[in-house]
Amino acid sequence: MERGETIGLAVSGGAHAALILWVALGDLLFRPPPPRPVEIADVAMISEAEFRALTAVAAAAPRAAPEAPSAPELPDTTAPAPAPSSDTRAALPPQPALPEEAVPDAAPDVLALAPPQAEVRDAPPNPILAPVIEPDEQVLPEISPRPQPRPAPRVAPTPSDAPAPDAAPAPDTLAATRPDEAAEPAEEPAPEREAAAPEEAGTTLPSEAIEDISADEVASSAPLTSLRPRARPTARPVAETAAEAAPEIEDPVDPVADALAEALGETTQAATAGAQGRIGNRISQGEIDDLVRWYERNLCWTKPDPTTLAGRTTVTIAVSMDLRGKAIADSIRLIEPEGPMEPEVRTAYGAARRAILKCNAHEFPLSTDKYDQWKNLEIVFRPNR
Amino acid sequence: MPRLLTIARLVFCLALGLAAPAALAQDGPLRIEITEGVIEPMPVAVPAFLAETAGADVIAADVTRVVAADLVGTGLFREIPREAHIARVTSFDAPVAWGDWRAINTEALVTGAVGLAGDGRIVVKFRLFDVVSGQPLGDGLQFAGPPGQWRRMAHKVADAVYSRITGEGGYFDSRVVFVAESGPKNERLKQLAIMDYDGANLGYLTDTSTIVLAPRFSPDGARVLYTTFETGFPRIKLLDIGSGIARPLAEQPGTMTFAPRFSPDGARVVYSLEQGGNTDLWVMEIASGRAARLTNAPSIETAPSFSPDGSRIVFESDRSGTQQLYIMPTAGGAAERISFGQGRYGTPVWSPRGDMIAFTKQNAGRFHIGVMRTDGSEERLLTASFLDEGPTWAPNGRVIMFTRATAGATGEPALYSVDISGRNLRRVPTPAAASDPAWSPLLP
Repeated sequence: MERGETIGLAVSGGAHAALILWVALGDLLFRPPPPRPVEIADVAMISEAEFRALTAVAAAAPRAAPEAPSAPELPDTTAPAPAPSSDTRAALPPQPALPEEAVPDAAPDVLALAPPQAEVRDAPPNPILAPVIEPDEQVLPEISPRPQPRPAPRVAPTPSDAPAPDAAPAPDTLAATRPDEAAEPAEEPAPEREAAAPEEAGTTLPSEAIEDISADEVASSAPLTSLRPRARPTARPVAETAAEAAPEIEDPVDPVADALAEALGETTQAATAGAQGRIGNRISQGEIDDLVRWYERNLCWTKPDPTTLAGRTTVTIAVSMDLRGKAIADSIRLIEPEGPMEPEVRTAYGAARRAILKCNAHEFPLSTDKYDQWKNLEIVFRPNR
Repeated sequence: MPRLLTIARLVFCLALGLAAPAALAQDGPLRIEITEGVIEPMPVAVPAFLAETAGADVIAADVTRVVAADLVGTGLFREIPREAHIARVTSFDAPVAWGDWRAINTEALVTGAVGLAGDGRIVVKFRLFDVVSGQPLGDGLQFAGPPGQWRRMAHKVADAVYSRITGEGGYFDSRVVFVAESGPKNERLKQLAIMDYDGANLGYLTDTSTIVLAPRFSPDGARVLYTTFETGFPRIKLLDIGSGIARPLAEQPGTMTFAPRFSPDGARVVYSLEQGGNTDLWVMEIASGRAARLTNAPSIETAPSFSPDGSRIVFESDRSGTQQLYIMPTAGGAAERISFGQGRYGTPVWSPRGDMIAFTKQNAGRFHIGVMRTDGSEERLLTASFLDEGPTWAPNGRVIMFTRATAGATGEPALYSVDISGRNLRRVPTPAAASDPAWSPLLP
C-alpha cells in the first residue's frame, strides 16, 4: 500500500506541477499564432480506411454555432457639432490604410503621416470615418459558413502501400551504382506535395484522430494528460480519455486514487476551457501588454515636467476607437480625477489627449477580430511610476 | 498522506487562481495603464505677429521675438524655425491650417497681432492652439498699454501661453533687483540696479558712493530693502522704487543691522541685529518702528526668510557648531534644525509656493545651490562651482536665480538661473558684473 501511495503521490505531484506550469505558461505557449504565409506541411501517410474514419467522426461531431459578430459602434455623426470658434477647423488628413497582412514578428512600421492637405474649409470637417449606417445594416462581411471537411488533396488520392522499411545495404552492395543500373524502385514515388494549402482546408487536426482510437492504445502510447489544447468544439474526449486511461493505473477502491482521478478530470476540463478561451476570440493579456507597449514605444506621450504638479498628476482618459484603431477625437474625455479641473489636471489631461491623438499615426496593434473588446478604452496615464 | 494531498490541492487551486486564463471577461472598456513616455521640449510655432495698423510692424516683430524667447528660455519649449512654416498667417482671424502645422510637428501654435489704438496705446492680442488636438487652448486675450510697455505685454502673452500649457504660473512679467559691481577687486564699486527678468530695461536705484548689499523686494514689488555701509556700519534702508527715495529703518544705537526681508504682508521686516558681539533675529513693524527680538542665543543667527503664509521663519545659525538651517515660529520660540548633510548651509529662501527652501551649501571646497523640503527631506543640489550663492525664487517657484563667481584674479560674479529640476542653467545677461539678485513678484 505504501508503495502505491508513493506512486500515487509522485503522480499527483507531477500532474499538479505540470498543470500549474501549463496554466501559468499557457498564454505563452498557446497564444494564437500569427497568420503566416502558407507553407508546405509534412503529412503522415494513412490508409484510406483511416481517413474515412476520420471524416466520418468529424462530420458527426456537433459543432457550436459561431458567434455572430456585433456590429461595431460607430461614432454618432448626427450629434450636434461643437459651436465653431472663430477659427474653423481644417479637414484631417486621411489616415493610412491598414496593411492587409500583418507581420507581427517584425517591429511595427512607423507609418509616416500622409502629406498634409492645405485645404481649409469653413464648414465643419467631414469625419474621415466609416459611413453612418442604419442599425439594421451590416458593414462587415458575413462570416463564411464553416466548411465541411472533404478529402484534402494533400492526402494521397489512392492508398499506397506502406513504404518498405529502410534496409541496411548488404556489404557487397555498397558499391555505388549508376542510376541506370539501379534496380527498379520498390515502390512508386510519393505524390508531389502541393505548395499551397487548399482553399477550404479540413478543420480536423491530427490529434483528433485519436478520438476513435481505442482507449487502450491511448493509454499505452499517449501521455497520461495531454498538454495540447483540444480543438473546438468539445473537450469531452480528452477528459473522457484521461478518465478512461486513469483506471489503468489506479486502484478503483483506493480513495487517494479516486481523489486523484477527480482532480485530474477537473483540472483538464478547466485547463481545456481556458485554452479554448485563449485560442478563441478573447483578448489576451499578451495583447493588452502589446497595446501598452505600443503607446510607450511610439513615444506618443510627452510627459509634463516631473518637477511640476502636472508631472505628478495621474489622469484616466476614456476614448472610443474606430474599426481601424484610430482614436475618435470627440470621444476623448477625462474620467479621473473627478471634480473641478485644477490647472495641473488640465495640463496632464492635455498631454494625455495629445498622446492618444498622436498615436493615430501608428498602426494599431490589436486585431479587428476583437474590436468589440477594444473599441472603448480607458487609459491611465501615470507619470510618476 | 491526506495532508500532503490537501496541500497539493490548495497549491493547485491557488495557482489556477493566480494564473487564470488570460482571457478575462471584457464586459466594460478595456483599461490599460501607461507609465512610460518622453520628456522633451514641446515644439511651438510662433509666427510673426501681424501689424494690424500702420507703424505697428516694428513693435509686432519685437513682441514676437520676446514671446518666443520667453518660452524657449524656460527649456520647456522648442521653437520651430519660421523658415520651416508651411502655412502663412495672413489674418488674426483666419482659420488654422491644422494639416500644415502638424506636418512640421507643431504641437502648440501662438498667433498674434499688434495694433495702434486711437488714444496712442498699443494693443497686443494673441491666440493659442493645440495643434495635435486641433482646437484652441483657452480664449484669446489682448492687452493694451503705452507703447513703452510693449515688453511687459509681450511677457504677459508668454505668461499666458506658459501657464495654459504647463499648468504653472508664469514668471516673465517680473523684475530683478541686484548689486551691480564695477571697478577693480580691491576697490569695488557697488550700486543697486533693477532690470526685467531677462536683462532688459536696466536701471540704477543708487549710486556707487557707498557699498550696498542684499536688496530684497517687497511683496508688491514697489519697494526694496537693502543693507548699506554709508555710515561705515551696516544699516538697513527702505527704498521706494517709484520715487527713488530711501530711508533708514528705525535703529538702536550701537547696533548693526543687516540681512532684511519683508513679511508676506509687507508690513514687517525680519532682520539680523548685532549687539555686543552677538547676532540675533529681530522683527520690526515698518509703520511704527516697533521691534521685537526673536532669538536669544550666543550663536550667530542671520539670513531669515518668511514662509509664504507668514507663520514660520527659516534662518541660518551656527548654534550647532557649523552653519545650518533652522525653522522657528514667526513669534519666536524653539527652532528646529532641518539641514543635516555634509558641509555648511546658508542663505535659505522660502519658495513662493511654500513647499521648498532654496539654500547655499559649501562642501569640500565647492559651492552649491540646492533645494529641500521644508522638513529638510529630499535635498537636491542643482549647481556646483567655485562659488554659487544667494538664491532667489522666481514668482512661480520653478526657477532660481543666484550669483556665480569665477575663480582667479579676473573672476567676476554674474547672475545665473536654473530650473528646480537642475536643468536649463542659463546666464542672465547684465552689462557688467552682478551679484545678490532678488526676484520680484509677478507684476500686476
